[in-house]
Amino acid sequence: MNFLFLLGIVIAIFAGINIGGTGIAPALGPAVGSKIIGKTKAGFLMAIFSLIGAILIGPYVVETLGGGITPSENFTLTASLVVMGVIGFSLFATNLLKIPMSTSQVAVGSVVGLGLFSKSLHLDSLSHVLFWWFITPILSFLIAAIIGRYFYFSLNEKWGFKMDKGILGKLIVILLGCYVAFSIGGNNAANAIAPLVGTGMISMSLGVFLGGLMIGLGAITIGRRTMDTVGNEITEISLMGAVIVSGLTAVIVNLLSILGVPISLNQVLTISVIGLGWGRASRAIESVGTPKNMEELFSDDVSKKIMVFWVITPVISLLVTYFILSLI
Amino acid sequence: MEKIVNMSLQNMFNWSYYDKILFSIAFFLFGGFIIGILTGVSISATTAAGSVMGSVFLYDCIFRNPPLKKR
Repeated sequence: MNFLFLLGIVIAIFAGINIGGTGIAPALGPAVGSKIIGKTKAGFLMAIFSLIGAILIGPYVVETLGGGITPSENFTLTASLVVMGVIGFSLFATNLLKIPMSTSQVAVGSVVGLGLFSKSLHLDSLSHVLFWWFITPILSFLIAAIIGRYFYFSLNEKWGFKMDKGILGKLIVILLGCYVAFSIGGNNAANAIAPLVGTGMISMSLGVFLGGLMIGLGAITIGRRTMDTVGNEITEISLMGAVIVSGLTAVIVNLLSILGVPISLNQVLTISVIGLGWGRASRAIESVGTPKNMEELFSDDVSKKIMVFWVITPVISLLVTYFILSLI
Repeated sequence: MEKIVNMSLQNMFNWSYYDKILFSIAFFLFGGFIIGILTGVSISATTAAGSVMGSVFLYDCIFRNPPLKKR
């Protein structure tokens, strides 16, 4: 037990709390926004389900980040601290400077930077991640657009107005929120603790437990505030839309976690929102008369932003990590 | 009866740009996957190739021809 190790723990706690604090908005935002449950209950639900997710699914992603892309021998305490420092700083930058960086992308970029520096990179593991990073946006958009174009109207007609009234509707919204929380824990706990697990100084099970616990702590503490301030695509669409999008996103992220692929839940969610809006807009535009406010359903600006950041975020974090490692 | 068949056939082939573009994306994405299964070439390679094709259509329907004005 030395100072560097304690510093690592502190950064991991900081990262975990941040992930939980921002993750609660996409997870239970719809339930809170439609006044089905209060913020306190939402915080505790998020804490419980992200912990379960982290324990059950977390290890797959930790393996990728903490020993898959580059062998765990490279995770010396110093190297792990650099990787975690880059991740921690990116969270800091996301919150304060409002730069939409995904922690998962920063984490992968940074670990690749470590691999390049140590001259041992598992290309098969890296290409597995890159492959799914390429497929996932296309697949999410496609499924959401198909739902938006062919099914949304009748679904909304049938269920839309009952969603936040009947017991069943409320239950669906809450359960889906819990499932999203589970998916966040499963995929993102790794971002907080994978480098530490890589050092071998804490075990896998203790690591994912701590990661999940910190995500929960973040949800309960700073989550209340971020739910009000963090701009989120999902809070701007109808409850029916939110239910479809969060269900789709959680399933996709959950499957990717089992495949060991770190992915940004928020970006899959945003792409699904874009897809659903695209599908609805494509239907509305064909209807009789000129529909107004098409931009409310669909705008291509967000798509551009996501594409650009998805490419530059990992590259920058790779370069920064490599640079810092060369200095020390 | 004949009328109904004719009408549904017409509907089947009377796809708009949006139907065609979604079909194309799905076709290339899953086509690549299926070719991978059938031929024994690496599934991830064929699916990736299919997705590259699919992303061209994706680019077209989001940036070049977004559903923002009447076609």
